[in-house]
Amino acid sequence: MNAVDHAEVVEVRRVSRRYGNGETAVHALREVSLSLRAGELSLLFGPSGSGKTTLLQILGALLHPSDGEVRLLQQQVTGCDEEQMAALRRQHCGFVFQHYNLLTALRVWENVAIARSVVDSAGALRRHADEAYTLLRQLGLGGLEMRFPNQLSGGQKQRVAIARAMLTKPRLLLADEPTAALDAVAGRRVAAVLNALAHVRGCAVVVVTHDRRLIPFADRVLTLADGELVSDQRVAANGQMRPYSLVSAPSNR
Amino acid sequence: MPSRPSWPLSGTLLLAWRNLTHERGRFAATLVGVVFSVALMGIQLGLLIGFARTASGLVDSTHADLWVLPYGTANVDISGQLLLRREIEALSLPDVAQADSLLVQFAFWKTPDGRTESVSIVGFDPASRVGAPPGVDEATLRALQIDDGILVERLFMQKLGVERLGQVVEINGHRARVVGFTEGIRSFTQSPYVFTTHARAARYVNYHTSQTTYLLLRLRPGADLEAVRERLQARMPKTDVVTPRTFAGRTQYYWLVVTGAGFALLLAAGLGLMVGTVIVGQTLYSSTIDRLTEYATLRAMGASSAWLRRIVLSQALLSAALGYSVGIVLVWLAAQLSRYSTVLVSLPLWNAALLALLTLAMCAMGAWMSIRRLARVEPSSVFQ
Repeated sequence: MNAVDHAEVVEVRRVSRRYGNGETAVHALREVSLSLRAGELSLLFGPSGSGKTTLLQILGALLHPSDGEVRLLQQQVTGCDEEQMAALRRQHCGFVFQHYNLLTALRVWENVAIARSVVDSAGALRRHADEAYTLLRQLGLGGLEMRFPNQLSGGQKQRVAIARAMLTKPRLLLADEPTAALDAVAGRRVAAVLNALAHVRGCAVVVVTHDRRLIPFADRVLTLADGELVSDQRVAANGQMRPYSLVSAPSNR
Repeated sequence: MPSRPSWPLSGTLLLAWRNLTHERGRFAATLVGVVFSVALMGIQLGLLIGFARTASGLVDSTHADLWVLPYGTANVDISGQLLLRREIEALSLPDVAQADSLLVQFAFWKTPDGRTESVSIVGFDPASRVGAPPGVDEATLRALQIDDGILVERLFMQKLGVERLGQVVEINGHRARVVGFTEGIRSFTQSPYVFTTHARAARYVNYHTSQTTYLLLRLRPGADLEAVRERLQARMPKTDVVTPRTFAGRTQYYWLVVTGAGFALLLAAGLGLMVGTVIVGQTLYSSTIDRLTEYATLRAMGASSAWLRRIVLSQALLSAALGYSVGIVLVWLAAQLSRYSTVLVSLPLWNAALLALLTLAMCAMGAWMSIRRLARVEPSSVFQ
């Protein structure tokens, strides 16, 4: 395994998020504080409505919290406008979605390369073809580059989506139920890729999931309930979990 | 490694192209809309230009420096009378080198099958050639010396019942003989121009030999056109002394603006622009709505608003370019066919360029609704 630095990638402090006002206000998150580090794969569990998606949106600079502070790679996200947040996302974040969200009109390699075009719009997309082809081969998708998404299986589509997220070498990768639509074999393969992304590439990976079979692939398990962070545990090498602390953080293991 | 596409397109342009071609039915509808719109605008504008050129064709084709008209003449086809002695008045100015009279007057033409058609008799001096129809050779002009000789426009042969040279016809009860044909001299009023000598024309329309309709003046080299015009105008206050350009403009204004004919053509062209805008707007908007999740995904990935706008604008501009390419060919075909018709569709280069600009503007306007919708795309919606 490569040496990976475990610097702090994103930190949220006493973050709350409300929808609506007054008595009808819904509290999606209540004073959540959290720090995510490079080289760490974190799973985010919780029942529906517990605030997982909202936390994911805030971590990925997609949504402002109602209260609290967010720092992404030492940069304040709180107070940024829409375009500044978009710039932070394209520089630092990668996203993987439950339903893959591939662009249906583009070929597989183009779906991957377009991520580079979002970051650097100048020049032809084919300049990034080699990079996309290499990444797709690494993810076991060699030979499928010229296909369209509707010609792939669910597992293949999800790996294309991961390749797209990986292409810009993000420091933070956020995945929303990436294995929910996959069978067990495809799900394990995707989990292994996400694990490698954290441990080999040094990415901070956060996965929102209900799938407990992913725990062996993770370093950390966070659980939300009613908008509060109710548990934060480290996954030991033997698969047992113990409370997460700075002492047990990957950098200090 | 499988082959890769070699088109060096940017990400936004490639995505725009693929978005269009991925939904062929919708793309076809967009293209049909743009083609229809370009063809409609092009033909209407071509007709407008053609009408303008036709309306002032008689003025534009005479090589005179100044025209002397009966006071208040609004167009070349309908005019009062001028006394021929005005020629002497004009020639009394040293800068005037030559003065020729031109007679233009409506008359009735009886066809061989007994129908009556309206024609516009043009009487000129074949010796000076001033006022002669363009493109007519010396032999044809000499043929006008034959008794009762007239020249008829070939495009109107059928309308006038003319089948051959030498055919004898009747104009206002007078005998006339077709001794030659003119080529491509249309009339805005659809009363064909029939050319003959001034004296014969005066006989056909019952003018006295001392009467005419216009005086066409040629100036000596180096003469100051405006100064001469002003002096002549001062000397002949009951006439209008104008340059051919002024008279051509006045004639076009009368037929296209005063009669409302130009407005009708412009209205139809505007309608084409509107229809095209609506079709492009509707198809682009529905395509954008269908792909809203994809746009939200790109926005989540960090795409700027400008980057997303470029996709929709590129779709609009690609539709414009393809639609224009087909549409302009249709307009060109219409222009070519009109050469054999009494109604001219004109497609000068500037009209083609204007059409290209209108098409671009139309497609950009069509993209406006989609761009507004994209501005409201919530990147966080991809995680809901």
